[in-house]
Amino acid sequence: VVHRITLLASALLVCVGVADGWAQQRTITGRVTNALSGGPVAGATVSIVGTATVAATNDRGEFTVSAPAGSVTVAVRAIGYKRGQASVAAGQSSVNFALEQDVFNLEAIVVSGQATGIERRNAPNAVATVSGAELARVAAPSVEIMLAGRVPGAIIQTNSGAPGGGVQVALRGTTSVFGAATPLYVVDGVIVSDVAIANNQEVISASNKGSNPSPLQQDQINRVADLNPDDIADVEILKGASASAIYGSKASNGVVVITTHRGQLGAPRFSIRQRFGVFDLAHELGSRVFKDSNEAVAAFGAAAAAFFRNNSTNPNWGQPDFVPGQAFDHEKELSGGHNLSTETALNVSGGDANTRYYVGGLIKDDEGIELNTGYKRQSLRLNLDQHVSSRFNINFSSDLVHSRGARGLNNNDNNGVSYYMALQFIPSFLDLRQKPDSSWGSTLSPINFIQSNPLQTATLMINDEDVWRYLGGVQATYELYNAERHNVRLIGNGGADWFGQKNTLYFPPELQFMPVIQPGKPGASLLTNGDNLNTNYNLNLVHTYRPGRLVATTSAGFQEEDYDLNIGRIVSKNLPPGLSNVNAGTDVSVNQRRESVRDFGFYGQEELLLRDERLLLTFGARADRSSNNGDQHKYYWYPKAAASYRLLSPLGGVEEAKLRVAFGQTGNRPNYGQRFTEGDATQGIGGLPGLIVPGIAGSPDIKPERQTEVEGGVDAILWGGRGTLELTLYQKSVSDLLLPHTLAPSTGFTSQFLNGGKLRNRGIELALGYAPLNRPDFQWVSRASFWMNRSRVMELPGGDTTGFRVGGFGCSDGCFFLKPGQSATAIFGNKGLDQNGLCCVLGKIGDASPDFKLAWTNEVTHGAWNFSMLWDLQHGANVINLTKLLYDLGQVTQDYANPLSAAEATARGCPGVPVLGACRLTQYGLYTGTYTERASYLKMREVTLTWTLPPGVVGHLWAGARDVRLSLSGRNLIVITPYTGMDPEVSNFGNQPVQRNIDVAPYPRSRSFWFTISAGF
Amino acid sequence: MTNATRLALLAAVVTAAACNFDILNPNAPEQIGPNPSRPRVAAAATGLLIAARADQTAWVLKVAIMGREGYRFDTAEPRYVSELISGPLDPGSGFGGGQWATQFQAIKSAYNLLNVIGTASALSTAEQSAVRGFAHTMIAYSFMTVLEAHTEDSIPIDVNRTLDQALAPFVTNVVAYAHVATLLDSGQTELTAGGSAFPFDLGTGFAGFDQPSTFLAFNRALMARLQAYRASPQIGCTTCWDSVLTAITAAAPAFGADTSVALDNGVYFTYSATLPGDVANGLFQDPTSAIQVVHHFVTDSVEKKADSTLDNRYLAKVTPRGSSISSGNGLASDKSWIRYPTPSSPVPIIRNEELILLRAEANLGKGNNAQAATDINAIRVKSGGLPAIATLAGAGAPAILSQLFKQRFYSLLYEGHRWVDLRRYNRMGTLQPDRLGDVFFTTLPIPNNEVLARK
Repeated sequence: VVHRITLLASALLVCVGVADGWAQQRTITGRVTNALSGGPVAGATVSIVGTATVAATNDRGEFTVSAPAGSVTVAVRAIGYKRGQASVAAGQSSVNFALEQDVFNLEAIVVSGQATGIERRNAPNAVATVSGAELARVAAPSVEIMLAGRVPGAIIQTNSGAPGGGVQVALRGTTSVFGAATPLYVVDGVIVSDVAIANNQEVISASNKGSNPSPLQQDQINRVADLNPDDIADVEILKGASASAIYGSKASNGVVVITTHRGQLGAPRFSIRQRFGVFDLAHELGSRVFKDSNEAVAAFGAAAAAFFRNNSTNPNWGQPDFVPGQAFDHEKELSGGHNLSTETALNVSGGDANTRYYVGGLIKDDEGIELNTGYKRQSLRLNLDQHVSSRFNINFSSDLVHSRGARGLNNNDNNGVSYYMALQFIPSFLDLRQKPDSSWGSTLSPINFIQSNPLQTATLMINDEDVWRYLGGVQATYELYNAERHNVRLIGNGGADWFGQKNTLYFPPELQFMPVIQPGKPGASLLTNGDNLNTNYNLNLVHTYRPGRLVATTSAGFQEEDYDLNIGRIVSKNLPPGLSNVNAGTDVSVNQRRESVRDFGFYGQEELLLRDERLLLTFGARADRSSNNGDQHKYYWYPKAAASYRLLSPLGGVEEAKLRVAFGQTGNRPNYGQRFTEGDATQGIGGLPGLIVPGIAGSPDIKPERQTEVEGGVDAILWGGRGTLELTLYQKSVSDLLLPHTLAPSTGFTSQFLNGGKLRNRGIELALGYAPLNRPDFQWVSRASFWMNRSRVMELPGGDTTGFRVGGFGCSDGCFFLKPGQSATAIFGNKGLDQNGLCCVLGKIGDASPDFKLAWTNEVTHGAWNFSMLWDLQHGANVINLTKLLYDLGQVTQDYANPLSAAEATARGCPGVPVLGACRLTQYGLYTGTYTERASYLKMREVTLTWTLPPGVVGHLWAGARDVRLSLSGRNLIVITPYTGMDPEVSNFGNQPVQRNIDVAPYPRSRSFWFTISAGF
Repeated sequence: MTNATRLALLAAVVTAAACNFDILNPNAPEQIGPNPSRPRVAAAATGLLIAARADQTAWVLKVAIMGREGYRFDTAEPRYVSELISGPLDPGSGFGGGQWATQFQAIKSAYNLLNVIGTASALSTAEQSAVRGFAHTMIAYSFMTVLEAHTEDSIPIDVNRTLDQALAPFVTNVVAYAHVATLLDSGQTELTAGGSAFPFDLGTGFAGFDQPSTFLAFNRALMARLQAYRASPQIGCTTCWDSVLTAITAAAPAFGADTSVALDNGVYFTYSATLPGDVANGLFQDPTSAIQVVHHFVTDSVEKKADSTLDNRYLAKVTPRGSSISSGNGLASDKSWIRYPTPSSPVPIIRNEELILLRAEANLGKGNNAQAATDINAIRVKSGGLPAIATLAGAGAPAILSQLFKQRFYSLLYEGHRWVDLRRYNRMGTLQPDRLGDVFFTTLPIPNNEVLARK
């Protein structure tokens, strides 16, 4: 096959030869302005149609472009504006353009292949586009959460409230069960890693020692969080196989194509922005207040009375503000931080006709609400575009990022050490604070509530994540041939994404829980070094043929990607006080894990624009192989085909309507290592190393999951461009699912991953845009979108109809259970005793996927004032609230002691139980629904008010300034939800295709307020 | 055109570079393959010891609980007192469904080695034969644990298969016992042809049994136990008693099979809390805070020595706990185990004392009551410090059997025998339950996953 590509490339080259460019004989000058305001449009691209000649406008909107003699057509494009075009007669030397704003991105170019794009008006898929300006409006921990509410069809939710990110992006439903969960991220043509490396806190928290051994219960950050949102020019999101087929076997969760800012022609333009902000605990769980010692004694035994005595036998005695029986707000003490957060962004752009540059820098310091938590990031990007010759362009991108996160100790835990896990068992009458004599409130004596004092843990512990990352890429475009009808370009992309992640965890021997969880070996120091390198390149040949009646774009290319991950972990226990080096402990263990993957694919694609650019036909195919497949040498084919047709003025008020339909397939390659039967060589006997067979058998025939998507829809431009409508229906089927298969143990193995089963998603996306007002002094743009998805397990391997548990903890706590006919994200649990009076009937009690989502954005500009907000609504998902269960077990839930009347108790199924919390506990195990709650929400994710200083004022203050803006903004200021936990956006297991929405002592949700000054000069 | 040619060449080069897709797994070695090197054979052979040891302490504890030698009062895991004492045994749990997957995993490891050992050109024919004899013996040992735990007639024996082959069919226990005897005999033949040394190190647990000629004694000792199990009333192969005596005679040079040799002489699994990759002996616990404690039956029937102190074996294995510990639902104990006094105490696989008791059992089975009584009395005196019972030889078979049972109880206490012994002599019913509803199981169920995979 390789030979075939080379031959194809050579053949094309032979056929077309190389033509000379045209002699350039005159210059055309002019000015480009905003049709509404009359202001200059800087950075617009001016081109002579039919030639490769381009120029850009300067700050004043002026341009100068070379043109051949004779009559020519000059075209102008600028981001955010509709295109302009004008004929320039032979003797005419200047032309001006007044461009209309393109508020709904109707004329944007969207991705249609590895190296091709297509105008939105022809696009056969509902590709979501979000501009960088929208993204950067309100500060956020990481870039993905900025997309929430802006992409119809996407469920974007944070896994916890921790600073620094950890966000799941799920596009159009459930696309796998055990395969990769995250979309493919492509930045300037380079695939970037979104891997999440856990910090190894499970050594201390034993989070993997319960009924779910997943190592991903450590609030890990998925590394796309390293990207600087300010560098982003736009984000395009391919939501399913019909759009992403050309990306092949890593694209089944969709593709997020990110383009960063490039340099603009002209003198250096500086933009600087300074933000000051503060995070604030958004929702307190609260804790039961014990009104007197009797209530405390009833709950915790006679020893609890001591906390209500007014003498030195009270364990709280010794605090200057001592009050017997006082209720403390442990949550505020732990998560009440209000330290100042800052963000400084500076970018410079400029260049001449041959060389352009963009430099973007960011220094960010988010202070977390939990004690000693926060996230710092510094990044420096350099994008350089070099015009080598009229035919040869090189674009170079480079991004250096450093981040440092401190995320505390949160999420599931089996040792009673993570903060909220401990608070679940600590009553409010116990003073946790450090006393003047430097001792801490004990949670062990006189009553053994729980091993750890979370305030002491948060004060003394270290859990730092330090990441250095370099993203670099080169894109080279060589025009092999250019004539009136033919254009042949060779486009090569190559790049590397390297990061080193270092996790330093230190638990000093002074911590109260240390002697309990590590008897005889107090103190622990954990060091994890992760090293990740992705390299990839692709080479594409694009031929555009314009005979006049049609435009045919033929592209073909190939791509290789290599991925290497190397994680080394050191665990050192029994440390002397004050020493955290891992060699200081007496009990040291080490572990190394490596992954190495190589993928190769090639593709071909044809796009035909016919009938006056009204009809688009596209077809293509990609073939991929991967070292993760059982047969590394086998190619898997993924075809695609699509069509769209534009109807001009089909109805009154409808300027243009497009009907579109698209089909495509992609894969989701097996996870690393599934093909190997890994001999277990980690064990020894008497100092002798041994090799034994492992429990999990390798799968020599493992192959990618295959997704088939069909989408169709209508896009309409209404009322002269003031309104838009985008309606999409889709069906996504995933077959050959990667599923664990239980083996007869007499084979010597217990399980094996095999392909099998099938699931389906069907959904609707509706996006509306409307600009009710579009006057020079008053503009209002409003967008609303609605989307819903229904997934369904169609079949399981071997005709299994009973299904099996695929995630969560035990089903009595609420588990994810795959069963034909049910939603793929169905939550199962106990529904009471069966007909024989035995525990229990297992059935569906909820779903992690919402019934529907609604988002609404508004932007109003009035003179110097601009106001925008983004509302995001989710209806109908469920969260398994184990945090609440644990609070109940600890008898400290805020509403635990709420009295129940006899009638209420009977109605709740707990006759005779006097208080609410105890009543819930009687249901635990029998009725899992008791702790599975609705996760509907309405969030005001973003709100911003901006004032642009009048030019006169600016001139007075700072002669060089172009503009100065002041703004006030907030994130998540309003959240309305019936969910009683911290945040309905939660995932104890991080990014997961299925087992999300499990709430186990997460980092609490915050809201943030920001004041921003930005200036350009 | 030169540019184009260059580009085409470049394209060819980079794609050629992409052709290497044979990425191996850097994290773990592949399973042993054809023509294994000497170190690979050694690692695989040591792996068999590790795999066979994997379930040993859990099995000893389970036998102790089901045979009422002891309890484990674990607040985090109530199934030690619920499932194992009052049932029902859950074939889906690691309790009721145990003594299966781990053993078949060990057997699989052994077959992986056996399947390629003939191609190991680095080893001499004698060495290959020694490895075969070792592997067959270890397979037999793992099968014996499965058979000790399961008396349902549903044992797969022909398990040297790949995953794409049909599952090994179930056979009856009688067939399975005969199969294990065949495995041991194959091992015997191969060890005899195995030269003077193994091409690997067996570690300190096999000290004295670490050459093919001495390991052969271990093979025969297992044969003695196997044949005694076949001969005992539950299966009732009366001709097998002779095989017990033959095997003991063959094992004698290394074990002694004699009271003149130390009774602890034998083969052990070793443990270590400090050596890399090793595991600590889970049967060790600090006796003052132990949750693995001693059943009152052990204290109830213990005899006193002439000086009024208790049986030496009891004193060596049991100690007061300091304070009583209870299950919270009717079970309690104030005695802890000191049978394994450190985390690195070895656990016996088979030792001289058991061989002597097996010889007594076989002689009793054959009607040689006097010889049986001699061995039983020897154990009473030598191991327990108790006086010999002069009248035992003439006391009749039932009385001798009872005495044999008692000596096996104390000699092999907390070593994984009691429950098996009670069952093979159909004596489970002689025990008194501690609580209403407590159950004495005679077998573990076949694990769910094994049953479901065959549906």
